[in-house]
Amino acid sequence: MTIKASTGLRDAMLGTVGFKGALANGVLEIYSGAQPATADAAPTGTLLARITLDGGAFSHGSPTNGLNWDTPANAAIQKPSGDNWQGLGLALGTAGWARFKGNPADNDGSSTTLARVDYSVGKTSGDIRLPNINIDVSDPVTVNDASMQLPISK
Amino acid sequence: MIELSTGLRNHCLSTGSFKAALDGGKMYWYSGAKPADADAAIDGAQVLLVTISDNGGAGGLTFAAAAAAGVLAKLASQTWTGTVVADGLAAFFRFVEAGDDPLAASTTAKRFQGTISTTGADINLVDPNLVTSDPNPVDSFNVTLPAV
Repeated sequence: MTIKASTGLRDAMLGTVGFKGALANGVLEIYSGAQPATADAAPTGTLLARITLDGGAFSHGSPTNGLNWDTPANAAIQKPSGDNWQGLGLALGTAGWARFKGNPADNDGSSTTLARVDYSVGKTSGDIRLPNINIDVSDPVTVNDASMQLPISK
Repeated sequence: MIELSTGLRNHCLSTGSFKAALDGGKMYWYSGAKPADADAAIDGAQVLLVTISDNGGAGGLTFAAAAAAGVLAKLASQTWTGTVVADGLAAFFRFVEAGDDPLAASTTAKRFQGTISTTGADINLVDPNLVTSDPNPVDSFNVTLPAV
């Protein structure tokens, strides 16, 4: 598993608002290349797509078109099955990883306070699977499944 | 590594925190074999050696106001202690939310459990052989949530 929670997200889960609360009304960004070492690090690669609710315009600080998570069950939380997580390709490239960011302003710098979670992306393997990982400008990109699990042992 | 119950994991994945779930709870130390997970019942083969509470009284335990660097510590100003009620070798602990019965099986109660020994355990003691009527203070207690 290559899902990586940021320090800010872990602190939220331990001390304040939990995973769903910390990432409410967030956005998912898909990049080319390999994942950064941690979700605290600045993103690497080329931003290929920005996934929002129904592909609508999103701005940090506003809940409009932000992504939300379903109610957890059996220690796992998922993308709500009825929500359409979608975006358009912003650049040409092969998707390698994705970062889910919360609603507060996130300027893509290094941070130990912002809630983020990173995923590997692939076609047949990876934490998030896309039917087509070769993204081009203006291509529709839809994320059908995303989840987070907390294992028994920590 | 400590084992989180299903109820606690669901809580932390939603809009609640580890701290919110367990502030006011108590920690129970036992001899005998640790149950398979924190959802499981303690079936009676284990012996309760000590209950850790706020200064050894009726009040529950409190964690620090906030986590930092992925670590949540006990509230520094609170004394976590209890009086040993039976002789025995402390082998594991279970930390439960306020009002929870640590002996009962549950997939909704917010709890965690871990090992006790001299080295390499979740709680390491110089001497885990506890003696009836001795005080049993817990000076330091940290919970870490790893990045992955």
